[in-house]
Amino acid sequence: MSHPDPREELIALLPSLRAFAMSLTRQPAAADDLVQDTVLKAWSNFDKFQVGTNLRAWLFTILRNTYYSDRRKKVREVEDGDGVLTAQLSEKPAHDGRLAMRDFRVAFNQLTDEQREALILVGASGFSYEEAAETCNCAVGTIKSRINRGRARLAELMHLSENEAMEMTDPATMAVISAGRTATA
Amino acid sequence: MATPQPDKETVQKQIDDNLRKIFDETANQPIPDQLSQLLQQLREQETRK
Repeated sequence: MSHPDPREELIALLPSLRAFAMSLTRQPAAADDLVQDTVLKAWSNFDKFQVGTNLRAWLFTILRNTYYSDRRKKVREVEDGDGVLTAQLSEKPAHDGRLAMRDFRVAFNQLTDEQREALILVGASGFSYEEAAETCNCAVGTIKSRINRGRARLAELMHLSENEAMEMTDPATMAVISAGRTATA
Repeated sequence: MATPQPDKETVQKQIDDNLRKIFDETANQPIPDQLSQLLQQLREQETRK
């Protein structure tokens, strides 16, 4: 056996698991609970993990499934009780046109769970589209369209140019964009 | 002329840069004690098996 022990690899992956959890829950305490649950589940299921396959995708999938299953349970209990979605954006982008980090965070937190996870997996954690699709149990095209919609929504929330900046080619994204735009020449 | 609008590539790059910042902010933090302790317990159980 030349493969490393997945239990050791798990430890190396904890920082990115925490970052992924944070992007889903948007709250540190909830993110840490989610990572703990994920570690416990992974540990008791390591016999089902095929050594040599993608441990990162396997762990991210467990984390994500745990999150969505918890969310289904909690959806009736909590309704934006933590103020995550109520924070306000500044009215205009920063003078130099750069995205202000605080505004970006507020905008990011307003995206759907599916858009946030797709953007974080591919945009920040270095997953390929295929790996992200495997993790999210969906088609590669679905990941791509979630990323496009997420980007378009971010640009919209950040008051960036939607004409030049968001020249979308994906039909699904086009549909979403044009649906939100009634009178554009 | 008003302030020139950033083009699509610039916007995408800025979005990705900020996504990475959000991600790294958590990923660069040390692992919380609670989590380290949990792992230690799990490993101890493993060796006792």
